[in-house]
Amino acid sequence: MIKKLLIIIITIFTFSQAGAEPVIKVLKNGIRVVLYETRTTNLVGVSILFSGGTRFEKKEEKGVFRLLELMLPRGTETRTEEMITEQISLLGDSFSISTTGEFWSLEATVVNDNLKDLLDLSKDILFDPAFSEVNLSKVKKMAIQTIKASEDSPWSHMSELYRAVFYPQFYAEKDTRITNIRNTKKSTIMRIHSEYFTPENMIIAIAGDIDQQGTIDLIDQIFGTLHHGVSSRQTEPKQQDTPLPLYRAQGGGITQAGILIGTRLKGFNRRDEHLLMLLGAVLDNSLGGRLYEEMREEKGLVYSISTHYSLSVKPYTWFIFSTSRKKNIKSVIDTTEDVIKELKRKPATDAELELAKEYLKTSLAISYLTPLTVANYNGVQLLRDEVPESLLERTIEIDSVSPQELDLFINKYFPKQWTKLVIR
Amino acid sequence: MNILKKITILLLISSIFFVGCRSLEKETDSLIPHRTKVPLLRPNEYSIGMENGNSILFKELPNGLKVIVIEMPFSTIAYGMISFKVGGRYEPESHAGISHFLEHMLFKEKEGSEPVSEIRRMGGNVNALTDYELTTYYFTVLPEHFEESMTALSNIVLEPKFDSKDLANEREVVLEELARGKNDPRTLVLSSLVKEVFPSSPLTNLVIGNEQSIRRITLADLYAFHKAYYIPGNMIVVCAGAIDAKPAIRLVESLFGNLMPLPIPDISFEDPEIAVSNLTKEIPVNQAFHITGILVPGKAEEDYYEMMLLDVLLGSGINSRLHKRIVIDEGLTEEIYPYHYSLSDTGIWAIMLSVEPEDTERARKIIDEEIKGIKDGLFSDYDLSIAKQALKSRLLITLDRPMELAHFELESLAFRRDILTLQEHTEKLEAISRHDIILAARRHLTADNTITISLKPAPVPNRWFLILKLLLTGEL
Repeated sequence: MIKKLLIIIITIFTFSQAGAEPVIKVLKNGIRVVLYETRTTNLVGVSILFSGGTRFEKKEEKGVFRLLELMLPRGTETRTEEMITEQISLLGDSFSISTTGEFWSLEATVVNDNLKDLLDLSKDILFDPAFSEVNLSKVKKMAIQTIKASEDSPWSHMSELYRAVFYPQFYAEKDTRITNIRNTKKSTIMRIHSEYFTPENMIIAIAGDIDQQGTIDLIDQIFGTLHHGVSSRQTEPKQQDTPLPLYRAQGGGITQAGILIGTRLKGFNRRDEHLLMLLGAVLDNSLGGRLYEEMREEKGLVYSISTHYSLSVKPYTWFIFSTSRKKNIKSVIDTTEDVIKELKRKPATDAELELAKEYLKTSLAISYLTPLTVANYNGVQLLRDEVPESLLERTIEIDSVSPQELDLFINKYFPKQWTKLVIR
Repeated sequence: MNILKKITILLLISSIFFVGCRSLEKETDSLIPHRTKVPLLRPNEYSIGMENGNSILFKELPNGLKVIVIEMPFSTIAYGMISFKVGGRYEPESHAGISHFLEHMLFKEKEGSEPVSEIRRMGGNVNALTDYELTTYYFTVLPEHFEESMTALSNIVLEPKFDSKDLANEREVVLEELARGKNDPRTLVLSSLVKEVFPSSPLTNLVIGNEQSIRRITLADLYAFHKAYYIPGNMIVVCAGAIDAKPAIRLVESLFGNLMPLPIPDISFEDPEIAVSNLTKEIPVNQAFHITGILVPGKAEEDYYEMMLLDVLLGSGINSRLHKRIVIDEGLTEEIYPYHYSLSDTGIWAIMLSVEPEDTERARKIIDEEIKGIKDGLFSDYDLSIAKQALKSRLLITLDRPMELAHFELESLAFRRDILTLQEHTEKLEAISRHDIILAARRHLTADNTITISLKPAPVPNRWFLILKLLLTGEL
């Protein structure tokens, strides 16, 4: 009992070093801000998110939203492309803009002294882009080339197949996307920008070596003057409940096959994410876990095998991904299915659960050393209208999971028949 | 499904570790040669104050083992690593991949001796990395588990527990890892570069080895290799994070201080010879994959710092000349990857990209023009000052965590025989002038040192032939 108490005290002390509670503020123009102060670093991670993403693309827009990401850093009303690239370089080249199914994001890590420069630059790029015709034709060419180059990546083949099977409503074939990109006009890009890049659709998440009040004042000074936008598409498009195939295979691998075995998590509550984390750690943790031990240590079928989940767009998914030489495809599928079916017959033992929890706590502590990871987590939680939790809260949640809860999850969400996708 | 894209990028990044082999002792069939001791540049024990409230303590034990402790009082984790000066470059061709194979095998456990499980039960992340010149075992734990974890790690590396059953099973795992590294044209073009830059080296088979050598390695080979290289004079232990230096040093002394000093095997590395200057292959791809690679100085050599700045000026980062020309000015591709991978005495700088096949020549011409531009001095003092500042910012961002700082100092000690603080590192960069850069560019970015390789789409009928060839031979 005393030992347990001591461990709790040490845990609280350790994790309190890594930061307090995330602090949420809303600026007058609707921008939501989440800050997280840590004492473990001299860096600051910044994640600026705009709700939207490719799930909102209409049929004729499939593939087009990404163009915005490529256009934004190509000059603003007050900065040339050269000025922008030089500034990014000076800040340490840790700067990227990306498009997901759920949002656009600008992410960067800088030394704390450079936060103001980064926010000034970000505001300029995000809200005053020049959108020149010349640059549009360049980024269209690059986006098309990227799609074509993905034909030469086995894992991109799997990514395509996964999206086509699990999210058919949001998916379009590569040729369709290329045609749409070719046909895109500047006015379309500008319309998408004005529709989504508005203060009320925006989240600024900052974590690391910051002073909270000073940072809020700085954000307000830089972004507080932005006017409300026209509107943003608030209603999340619904994914049709299309039946999942049991098996789908296509070519694309060279020396190995990629194998994905997964299911949808219909009705799953995002707030129970820690259950997914824990289940993943039971199956696959640092050089161990049921999948690792059976697939690699016992049978030598794989070099690595990992569990994943996606809570970005409904319906959420859970899957296992591995690669293996093509002669092993059947063995990998059979053994993987055996391991996950075995979880119903032989639930995780107390020892397995304890190890998985300790592994996750260390992994979380490691991830909280990287301010951008923390900013991303907090920003995405806020974007999803969930409450961003502190490291300590997340740790306590993981610790509190009982074997019965994990069994309930497995019995509720693990299907009788899994969907198997193979890139041969 | 970002994870799959990330896997692709990780494959590319991991292939960096397979770049740049040359060597070896080819004259004998002996697995283990001998070596004389190289002195350090500073005393056997000293401490240095570092940036951000951190401090560093170095000590060399009487048996030759070196230990670095980096106190990072604001960190929340503890990181430990044990590194051996051995890797892909130290292997005879017949046993290519033995360092990496041994690294896998040392994680095998037997009932009653389960140090890996001990670390895992404490929540530790434990793993290892084999490179051309270093093999490193490491763990990350919460600080209260550091002592037990370092004790367990010492057991992992010093007390092999594997048997023939483990060997048979792990051989298949290593062959899977080998196959994974060949499953993308991006890694194929990089491995082609290595083969052509270091053609006479058996390590063109890469750190992981080749199927024949992996199948050839026996239990006796692994134990002999372990006995020869896993000795105190060949070891560096690094502890970093929320730990106190003095107890950490005492722990290392108690774990390793009684190990017998033994002679270190000697290795001499041959000078690399570039096989061809241009190579074009047709394989079943849709886009063209092009790489221009240049032989450059190693980490222990003069001009290494000049090369770091040349890398920033020329290819790495959004403000580099090649990124500006290829991505911003001409919009040829988003997929452009710079590589600067250095061994102790040599290295490769390269730029790899995918483009529409008809744009290959254009991309290649731009690369040639920009390299020539640097040699001709077509950059200003201001450009150089931006590159220096960019590099400094990158280092500050990169070396913020215990893991990265530990690896940085490990390589510094292993390759330059000295520990460098970020401040000292920056001072070396600041001392470099524009004239120095031009001279270094003219010395190293020469036609003789340069090779270009292009993988282009094969005519469609050849696709199945090549796939069949791949399946049968494992080679394109």
